[in-house]
Amino acid sequence: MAFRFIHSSDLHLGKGFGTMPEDLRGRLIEARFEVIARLAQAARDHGAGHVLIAGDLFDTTGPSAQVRRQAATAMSAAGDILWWIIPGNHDSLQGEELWAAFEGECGPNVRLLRHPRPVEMSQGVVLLPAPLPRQFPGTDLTAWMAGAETPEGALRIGLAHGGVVSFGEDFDGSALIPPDRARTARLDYLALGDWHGQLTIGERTCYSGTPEHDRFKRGGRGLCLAVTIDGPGAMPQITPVQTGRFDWRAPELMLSPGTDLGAELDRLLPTDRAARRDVLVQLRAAGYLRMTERAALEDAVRRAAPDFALFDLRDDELATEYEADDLDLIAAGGALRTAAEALRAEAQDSELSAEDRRVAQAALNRLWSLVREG
Amino acid sequence: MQITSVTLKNVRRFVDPVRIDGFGPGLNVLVAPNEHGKSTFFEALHAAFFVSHRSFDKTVKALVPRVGGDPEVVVEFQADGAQWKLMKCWSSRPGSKDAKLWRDGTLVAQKSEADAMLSGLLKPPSDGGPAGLLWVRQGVVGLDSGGEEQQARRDIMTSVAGEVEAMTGGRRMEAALASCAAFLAQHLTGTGRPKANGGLQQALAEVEALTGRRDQLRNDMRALQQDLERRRQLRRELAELDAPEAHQERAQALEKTRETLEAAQAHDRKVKDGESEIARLSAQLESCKTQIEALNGVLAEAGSAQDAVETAKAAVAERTGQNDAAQARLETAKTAHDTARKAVEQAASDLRRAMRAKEAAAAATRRAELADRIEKAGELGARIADLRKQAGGEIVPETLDRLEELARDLSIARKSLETAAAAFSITYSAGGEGRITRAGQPVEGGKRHPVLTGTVLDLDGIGRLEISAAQADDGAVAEAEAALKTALAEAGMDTVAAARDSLARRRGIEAELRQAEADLKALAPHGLDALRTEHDALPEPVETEGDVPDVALAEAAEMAAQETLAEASEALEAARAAADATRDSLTRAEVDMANAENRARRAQAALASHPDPAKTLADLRVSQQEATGALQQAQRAQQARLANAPDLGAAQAAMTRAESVLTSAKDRISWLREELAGLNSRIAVVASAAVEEELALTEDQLQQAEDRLARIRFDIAVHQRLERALQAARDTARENYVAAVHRELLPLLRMIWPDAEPVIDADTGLITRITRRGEEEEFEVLSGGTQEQISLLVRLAFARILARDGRPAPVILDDAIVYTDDDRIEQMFNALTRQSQDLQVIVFSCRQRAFRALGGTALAITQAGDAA
Repeated sequence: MAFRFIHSSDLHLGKGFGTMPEDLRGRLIEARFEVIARLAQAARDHGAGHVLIAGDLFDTTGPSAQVRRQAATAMSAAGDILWWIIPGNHDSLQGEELWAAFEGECGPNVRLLRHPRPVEMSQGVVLLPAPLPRQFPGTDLTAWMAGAETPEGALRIGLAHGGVVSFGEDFDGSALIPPDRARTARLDYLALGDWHGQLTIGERTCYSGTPEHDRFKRGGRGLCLAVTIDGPGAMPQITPVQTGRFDWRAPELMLSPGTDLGAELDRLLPTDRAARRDVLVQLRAAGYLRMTERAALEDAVRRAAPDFALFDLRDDELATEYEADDLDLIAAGGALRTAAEALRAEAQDSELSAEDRRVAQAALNRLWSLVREG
Repeated sequence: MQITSVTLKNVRRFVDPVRIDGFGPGLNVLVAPNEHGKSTFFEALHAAFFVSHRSFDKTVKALVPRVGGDPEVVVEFQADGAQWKLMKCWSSRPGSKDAKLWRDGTLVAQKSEADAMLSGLLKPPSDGGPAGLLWVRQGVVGLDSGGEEQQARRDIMTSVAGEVEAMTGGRRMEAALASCAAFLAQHLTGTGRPKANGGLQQALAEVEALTGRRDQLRNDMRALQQDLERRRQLRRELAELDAPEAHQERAQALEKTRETLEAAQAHDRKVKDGESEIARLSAQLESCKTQIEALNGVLAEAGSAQDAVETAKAAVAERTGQNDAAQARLETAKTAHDTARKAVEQAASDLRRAMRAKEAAAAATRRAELADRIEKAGELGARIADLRKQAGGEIVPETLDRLEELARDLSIARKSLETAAAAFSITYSAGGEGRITRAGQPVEGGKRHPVLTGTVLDLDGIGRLEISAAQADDGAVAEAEAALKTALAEAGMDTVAAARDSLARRRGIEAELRQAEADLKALAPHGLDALRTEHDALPEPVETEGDVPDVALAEAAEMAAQETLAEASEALEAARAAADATRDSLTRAEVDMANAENRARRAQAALASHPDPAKTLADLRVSQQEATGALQQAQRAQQARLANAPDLGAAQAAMTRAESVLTSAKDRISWLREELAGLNSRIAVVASAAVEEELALTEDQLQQAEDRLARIRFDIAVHQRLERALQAARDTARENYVAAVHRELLPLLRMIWPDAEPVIDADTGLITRITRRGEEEEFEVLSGGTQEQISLLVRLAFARILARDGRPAPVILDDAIVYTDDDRIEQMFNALTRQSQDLQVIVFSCRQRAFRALGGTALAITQAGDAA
């Protein structure tokens, strides 16, 4: 009989979103919490009785009692689901107080896996967990799985947290998980966490990604994976299931004079205005525009922004090109023209520092805005 | 721009087309009485340029004839090197509104395009251009009611201000600067510091507060992590210490250690008993050995002492004989020594006698020599006294020097008298020499002969010549003569020559005296008394008794006797030493004998306690053998015990350590429990505070606050940069404007007021004051006529500036200087003529008589065909 489960990770409950506007923070935090119910629902929809959390259920080893208690309550409330949880690098076993309290607050359907030893999930299905004892374990915690004995004919499912490739400067390279761990440990499926985007490493090895995004780096909405394994040795069937509420978009807009800004924005932004409320946009504008076009872009952004949960225009890499008739818009002559030309010369003076040029360009744009505002 | 013709149709009174043409490039004048239509032309011309053909406002309505019709104006002008023609027709009916513009005879724009193109050519005042200000209506302010332009430009100075604005940025510049200032004022104080409660300060405060909060949370986190780590360590340690196996292990270790220690202590006691037995047997053996050695010693001493007594007796007998022989040799030596001593005493006596005789002979010789020298010295002393007496009778050199000086004074006095007296001289003829005599003596010729009182000359063969002369003054001569005489008397001399002789004699006596004194010094260097004392001290000669031996012989005899005595003394000392040695040797032999006798007595006394020394000795040797055997047995047993002895110190140390381990484990367990309780409490408190979550949130918020602060700082930098750029551009423009207006205006003003000096406000560009005849006056208090004149001159100056900027515009005046009196108007005409050299100036006036003197091109209104 096929075994079905949901693979998720990196819920990062308790994340404060301190860099977000105050009114948005609460919505983002709430969305994180709601993802527990959405995972449970995804399991039901998939006909699964198990949800595997591959680390980083919590954002820190010291979340508030409210976050911890409500998570425990929400998971326990989904009594038809068994939750299998390993601590990740953010909420490693060093958080003794966290896990002791959490276990005390959870019902029997929530299983915290503290030790790297086989656990029977159900008849003929064995889970091989690799909980993180500390934030930087310094070793491949899945190594033991290769030698782990399980009953003949049982499904072997691995559950681990960490990278198979380096994820950045802070990454603990000594703890890399071999990409072929599923093969060497005879696993039917290796459920990985830590990577916030959904990522397939092999036919039997996947990162589920976070069910609710918290940054623009991984665009779109969060996912979990619905996994079905028909029997020992059978190839797992893996289906992404959308769980995220907020859609994080970081489109890049390469601009040049003459670009139809309205059309470009329409192309990048969702047309359903009602849906925009749950969309966060970080528009990265690059290239260069004429002064009037830049103002038009800012106007367009200003008009569109209130529809969205967040609309952040990043125009650090967007330069402004000034032609003589651009300055005519400020003044055809006289002192205003003189000031505008002085600022334009400064903005284009390669002898000056980049910061000074940036200030001069911004001052010129500001002058035009002031003149335009009348 | 230069207007060449204007044609009106359906404009006010001109229903039929009328036209003014013949405009020239300089001054153009239309002088006509009131109601002739000058202002109509002015208004129509102005509307053509500045009112859209689509307009039908009150300005246009004012142009409509009473009989109705659509006003139409055609203007021909030159601009940008081309010939233009403009037609505008205003109407209340949209279909009739029209505007056309031709360039060099070609229609180039119609309707709105024509309006736009015209605006481009003119830069009307509504676009900030200056052209409108050059249209000057009646009166100072030209307040024709109605019209947006008039309202905007209430007077000519305001019009200038409009141009200043165009150059300096005007209201838009002010608005931009105000906006910058307002923005900066939200953040900074006047001195550039963050403003209290301003955006920058709030952002700084927020960053500071969040940084502090983050650091505090990080510290809390570190403390929590340290506490957790410590708790893990303590828990591990407690688990290890408090495990039942650990307790049992420690108890077993203690018991085993205790057993080991007790066994070691029992063995140690046996070893100590063995040591005591060995000591006792050793002492017993030592005692036997001591007694045997003592008894053998006493027996040996008794024999040895008796041998010593015999040897000492033989030595005493031998030494006694040696001593007697030595004493006899000593007596012999003493006798020889006495004999030699007496011989020495005799020889010394003889030597002393010989020495005394020799000294007496030497004294007698000296005494005789001294007596002779005393006698000769006495004689020399008498001679010296006599010579000194002789010398005292002669004069001394100082006296002669005085006399010689007085004699010279007298001679000089006499010479002076003679020189002052009368004199005569005679020159003899040949053969007459000596024929003149005085007192019988021939008078020498060729020489001056003074005559003091008178003289008589006998002239041979002639007679006697008596010469009388007044008595010369001889007081000085007499005084000199008296002084000399007195001095001679005091010296006891008759003449100076006698004095010289006396001194010569004195010097001879003194030479002899010095010789006598030298001789006396040689005889008696220390004086005669010294000689006498030495003489008297010498003994009187006496006679010697018997033979007096020779001193040398006596000395030799005395030396030989001394040598003999020395040899006798040496022999005596040797004999005395030998006698002393033999006596000492005898004494030592006698002492040795006494000592030997004492030893013999002490040995005998010691043997007295052992009636049978041999038996005693045998008994002691038996006892010694028995003790030696027992000791060797005891030592072997002890060695065997020591070889198998456990380490008592180690056993004791192990016991101490085992007890300590037990105690410290107990204490440590107690301490660990207490410490863990405290740690648990602290960790629970901190963990419940969600420090890590709070830290993550705070770090995010800090990042956001820092981003916000950076944005504010950037915005401040942007506004500061913009403000600086605007201010710098405005200041430069104002300076340029003020200088240009001043340059153009000054010659015009001075055509009216030769010493005038305007003051132009750099901010507004307006004339605020003017100095005339040394007095400074505010513009506002000047008379209406003066304000009107200055205003017109400013326009003319400004028109010149525009022309030089390549934007020439005609100056059009419609009865513009009505308040100017006839005298002043001449100067104003000159100013207009001056400026019209490179400008087109069009003047409409009703003052026919006054403006007839203006000159320029005379214009006239004529009937025309269709305007278009």
